[in-house]
Amino acid sequence: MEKFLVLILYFMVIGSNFSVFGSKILWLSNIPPAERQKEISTNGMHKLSSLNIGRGKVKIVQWVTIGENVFNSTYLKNSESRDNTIYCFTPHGDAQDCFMDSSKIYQELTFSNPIEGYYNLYLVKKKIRNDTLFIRTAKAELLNHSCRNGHKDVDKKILPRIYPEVIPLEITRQRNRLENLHFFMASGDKVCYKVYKSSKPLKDASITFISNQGWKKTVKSNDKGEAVIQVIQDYFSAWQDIDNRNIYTYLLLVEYTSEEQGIYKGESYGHTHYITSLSDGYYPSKVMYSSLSWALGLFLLCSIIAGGGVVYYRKRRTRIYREIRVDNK
Amino acid sequence: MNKLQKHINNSNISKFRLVFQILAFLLLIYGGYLSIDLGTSIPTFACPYNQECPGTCYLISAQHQVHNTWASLFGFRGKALLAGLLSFVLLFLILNKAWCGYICPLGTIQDWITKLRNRIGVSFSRYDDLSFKRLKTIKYVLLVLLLIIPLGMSNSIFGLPLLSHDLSAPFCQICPGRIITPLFVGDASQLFVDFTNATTMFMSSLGIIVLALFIVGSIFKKRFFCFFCPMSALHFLFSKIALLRLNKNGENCTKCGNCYRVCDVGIKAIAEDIDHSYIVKDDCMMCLKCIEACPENDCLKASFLTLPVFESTEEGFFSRNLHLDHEMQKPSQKVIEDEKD
Repeated sequence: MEKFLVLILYFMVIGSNFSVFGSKILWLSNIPPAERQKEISTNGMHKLSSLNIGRGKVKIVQWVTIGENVFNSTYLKNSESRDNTIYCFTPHGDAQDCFMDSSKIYQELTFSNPIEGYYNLYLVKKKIRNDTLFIRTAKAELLNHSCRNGHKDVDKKILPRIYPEVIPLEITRQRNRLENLHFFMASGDKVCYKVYKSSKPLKDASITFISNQGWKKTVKSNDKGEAVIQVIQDYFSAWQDIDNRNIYTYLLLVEYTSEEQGIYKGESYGHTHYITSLSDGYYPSKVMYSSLSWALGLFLLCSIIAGGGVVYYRKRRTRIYREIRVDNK
Repeated sequence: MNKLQKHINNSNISKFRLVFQILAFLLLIYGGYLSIDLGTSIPTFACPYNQECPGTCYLISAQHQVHNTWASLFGFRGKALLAGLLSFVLLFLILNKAWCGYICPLGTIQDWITKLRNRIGVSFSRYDDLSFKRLKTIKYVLLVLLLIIPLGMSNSIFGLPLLSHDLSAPFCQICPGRIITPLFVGDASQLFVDFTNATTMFMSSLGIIVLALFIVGSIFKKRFFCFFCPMSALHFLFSKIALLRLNKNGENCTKCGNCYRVCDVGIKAIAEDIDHSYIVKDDCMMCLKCIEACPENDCLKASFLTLPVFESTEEGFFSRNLHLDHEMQKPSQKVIEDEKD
């Protein structure tokens, strides 16, 4: 009977497009609200939103956002529920302070990032409804790098890390072999994600990719907890309007329902439903704005002109003098 | 010790150099497969655009380090800049300009093109004295530009507006190493023209044009690109304090011109200058072919911390049979023709 109820609940959640939360996904955004854009600048190669705190130091800022997709999301205001827990971990795996300033209009998470590599930022909200504890986790893997700081121990700095002691359902982007601190995702890339439940790979988890324009695709994780998703090109602007410096945001959503029971804030529950979102950025595909064939054509043209020029110059220098007769009369 | 020194002096350093260049090339192109990390201040073209490169050319680090506001440069960022420069200098001091002659992958590729040219029988060119003097200044201009442009991206220079961020690492955008070295690991992703805006289009096209000139120029002129290389200019600023040194004893020089004839870069001063002891010029790459070709005892000498490494001897010259060398005679005829002009 219990399994049947869980199954019904699961279909309710999926079928109603995450309707348990009113069709809303909780996620962390790197894009500042209009009211904050003047004060916020971008930091490092990966353009993380940052606040200048003087003496060349900055603090990274992320905004708590809720919506159906990237396009139709709103920033959560501080006046709304702030019943949540925040975790921030350095690239070394150490917990560090992260603050939510209640004096601001919107809920924004602020932390310092003195170390090079991936910082993991989490915001967790828990709520009981219909005998089920819903645990919503918004996660962001924020890469901090500037070439000025060098490129030592790259493999350690980009290592994906999980924290099962505080985040039971985790999703990470798997790094490829040649990945370094300059990594940028682009349209067309095939990206592998891995789901963990309490540090173990989770099979058959439903992973939904939502692109910047709202395109969705759901896949299931395999035995290793992995799923590969190809990022599609989801917009086709006029050629001269392509902005290859613009970072588009995507969301990744993983869900899992278990029969874990317990008591939360004095209220008992019979099931636990986890929803974890991972937000990150991607660039337009390089093929949208660069051309190999033009490069090869230009290379051939220049080679022929330069080579021909040298050969002509050499021939001219070795030409036999011709006698010129001048009629003095 | 004397026997060892004699053996070295009689040996053929060009063969040693060929092997050394191949090993250095393998290290700097494929070293990443072995997870080797050589740091970010390598005094030669160790190009990080090749994902398998185990280190980073100092020029790219320097361009990023100067891309800062004046306030940052005179503050904590300045320390990073100084630390990078210090690492570069310390590495450079060991080998002096031999980094160019023995390690640089772009230099090695040019030497391979030269060997190919020899095979197909194309004669090489030398610059006349006036062109040599004029063209050699280009590398200093490039060195200044590659430092000023990143500065101009963060600071207003002479009240001018800030430069576009599309000019980031400007020299790397036109350096043939960015395109060529990844090709050796099967990566052609750097061969493109970027149509994003006028600046990216100009810079990426310029990169392709320089690549074409690099290939064609190397066919007709030995070490064509080295003549314009800003790394070579940067090397020369610290060359006089390096541990590996190339000295000349002018009293023993007969001005036979052998050293000039074998010089890939075409430095005439090595044959003509009998007044200065330290003979490394800004275009020199310390390949030491001049010592190999010198028939005089104790005329040219390479030393490390005053210890002799390789020196010219009459016995060495004849044991290498350079007086019979076809390649050695060929350029001398060409030189005579040029000088008549």
